[in-house]
Amino acid sequence: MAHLTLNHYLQQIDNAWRNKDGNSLSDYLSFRHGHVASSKLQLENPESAVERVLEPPLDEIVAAHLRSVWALNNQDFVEAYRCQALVVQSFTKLLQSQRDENWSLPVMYTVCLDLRLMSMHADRTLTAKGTGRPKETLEKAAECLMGCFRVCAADNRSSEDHTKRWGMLLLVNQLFKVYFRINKLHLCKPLIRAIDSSPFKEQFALGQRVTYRYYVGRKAMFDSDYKAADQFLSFAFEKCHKRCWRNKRLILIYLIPVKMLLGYMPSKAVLEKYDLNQFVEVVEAVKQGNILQLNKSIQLHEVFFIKCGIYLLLEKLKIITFRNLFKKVHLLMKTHQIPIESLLMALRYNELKDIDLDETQCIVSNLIYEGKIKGYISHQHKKLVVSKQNAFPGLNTLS
Amino acid sequence: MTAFSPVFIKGTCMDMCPVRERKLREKEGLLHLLELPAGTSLQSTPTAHPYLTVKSFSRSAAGHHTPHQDELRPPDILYKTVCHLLTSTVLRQGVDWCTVYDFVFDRLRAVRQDLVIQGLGCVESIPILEPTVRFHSYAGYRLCAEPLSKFEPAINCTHLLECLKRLLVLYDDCHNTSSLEVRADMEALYLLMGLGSYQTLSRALQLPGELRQHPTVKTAFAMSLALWSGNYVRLCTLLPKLPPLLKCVAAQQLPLVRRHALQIMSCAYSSHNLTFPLSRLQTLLLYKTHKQAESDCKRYGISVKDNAVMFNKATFQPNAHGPCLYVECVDMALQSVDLTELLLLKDRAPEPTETVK
Repeated sequence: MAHLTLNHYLQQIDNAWRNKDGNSLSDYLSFRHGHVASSKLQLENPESAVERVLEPPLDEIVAAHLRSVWALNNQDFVEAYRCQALVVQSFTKLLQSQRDENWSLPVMYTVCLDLRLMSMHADRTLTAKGTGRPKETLEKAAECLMGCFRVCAADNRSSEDHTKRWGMLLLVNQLFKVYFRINKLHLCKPLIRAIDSSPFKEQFALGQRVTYRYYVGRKAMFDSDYKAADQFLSFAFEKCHKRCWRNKRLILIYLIPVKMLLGYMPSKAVLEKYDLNQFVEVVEAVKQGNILQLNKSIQLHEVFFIKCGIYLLLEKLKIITFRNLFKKVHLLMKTHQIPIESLLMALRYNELKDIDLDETQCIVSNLIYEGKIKGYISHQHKKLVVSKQNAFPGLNTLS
Repeated sequence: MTAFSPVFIKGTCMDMCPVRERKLREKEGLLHLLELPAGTSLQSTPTAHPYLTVKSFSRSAAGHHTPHQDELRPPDILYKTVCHLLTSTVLRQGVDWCTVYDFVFDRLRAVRQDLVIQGLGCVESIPILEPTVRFHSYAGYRLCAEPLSKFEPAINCTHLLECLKRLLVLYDDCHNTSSLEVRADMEALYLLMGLGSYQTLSRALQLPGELRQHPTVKTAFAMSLALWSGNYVRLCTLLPKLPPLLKCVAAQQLPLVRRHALQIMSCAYSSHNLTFPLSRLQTLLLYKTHKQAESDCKRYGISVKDNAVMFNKATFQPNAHGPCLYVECVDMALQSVDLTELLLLKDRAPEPTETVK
């Protein structure tokens, strides 16, 4: 491939085009295919040469692709991105003009993926130079992807075998990746609605459905809908291919805290298998009601937890840790009327120094309100009165 | 990549109000009381004073012509206008402060409009947006007891958030255009505007270390994080530690905090014969008087008898809204600050009469 000549290359493309061979065509427009290494294909101005062999509108796409290859070989990511954006835009027009056929969807997958990856490189260059807003190119790439998405979503006249709507989920996943990176999660909502109302919802390729559930699960987590997050992330984790260790690990980073909030603690073996040792101490601390250790381990791995976006979830785990601590006090004291003072002492023992009776009552109140403790507080007697039966219901039994 | 950069008009108007508008408003008798020297009677037909008249806001709409160069003010004049509004105008004696608010609000909005039409960047926008944010933060507290007909908290809040969000975007885009202190105040303000919300908390977590470690941001973050896990007691103990302007903002969020607290307490202290002392509730939730605490309780369906609160989870009204109230520690803090310094972060600016021209 490294010595592929321009003529040969164009001939191959022409063949693929005439045979409506989407997979081959997508290879010849991919940056992850051998032809990009050929020095004969790195052309600054390939337009006239390409026009001689290929007919419009394909020539535009191929010429822009070759110029992008040239720019990339010169390490000019900004220009490479600009050309790739041209590729996607021209392709979008082509896609729209192809009525009742969807053989070119593989090409769409390839050019769209390359566009997103390239935009991230371009942003890095621009940030290093100090020009442009951070992630500006990525945002623009999302607009291009959106153009493709609209064409696919609007194709509702073609039959099930030939409709371009099969391309929707892949684009949605690409767009999710962008929106999560630029931190604009609200833009996910219309995409989720589009997929939810699609008749192919459960028929898309499994890999795509796994990715989709992973992002929708994370979105639900940010919206504090932990039940839904559990469902989506569990699906993603169970169906994710077992060889994709890295992806499974990524899913677990979110699934673990969500499961813990719902009362399911991960085993040490799982944490070790997926190299998630950051959680080991957290899990131990929560189980034991050890606020001190929990605070310490959150602090120790703070950077990791913040980067993953689960820091605030771990903060919520404190509530469960309080519950476990108070349950211990209850068991030790063997009484249904627990002095608030004793709970306060337990908290102070965990080195929560500036805490007082009022705040202790506040923490207990929240636990009662959430149904994690069955009972009430008597302010006059400074006591927490708990139910004689099942005072601390199992967390996984709470609705 | 050649970015498409639109060409913006550059303003040339060197007064706070374009000559044409000044003449028109003079002729039509549309001058505002605050644009006239103190003591002018409105009955006579006053003449417009070039150093006191300020361009008013007019919504851009279909049929409006694009503003002419000489109707737009360049950045330095815009900044001087802001200073004029936030020094002599806000301190004007003998005028109802609601009137002052309406006037300053309108004129600041016109300033922002000029900013947008000229497509001015961070360097020019930030010094104008910062005082605007402070003005709306302060006004929201000062006027919180006014009837809806005179002051609408929701509109004030919308404008505050609009300016604040634009400001934060500008901070993100261009670094080191503002001092650490000022930016810390604004980041803290954003945290307080959305106490306990995932969005504001995660933004704070992404801030550069020096900002995250700033004491004001730390306090605001701790307050928001406290509410994130339901800890209203901690939130209320931290509030007095904020600087005066941020206290104003936090005080405006208290109704939500109190509702949350009362809802949880209604459940945890729910009983037919046990009570909770009203005075304790007053201290915990920062009510100024026990009357206020009592009427807030009643609003939420909690009965109070002889200074004893009787919580009952069955009667709690979750859809009620408590009013925004004055808070003792905030009032105390405001007493000892100079308003201009609070809004512009500097000692009394020189009177615009001498500088504008």
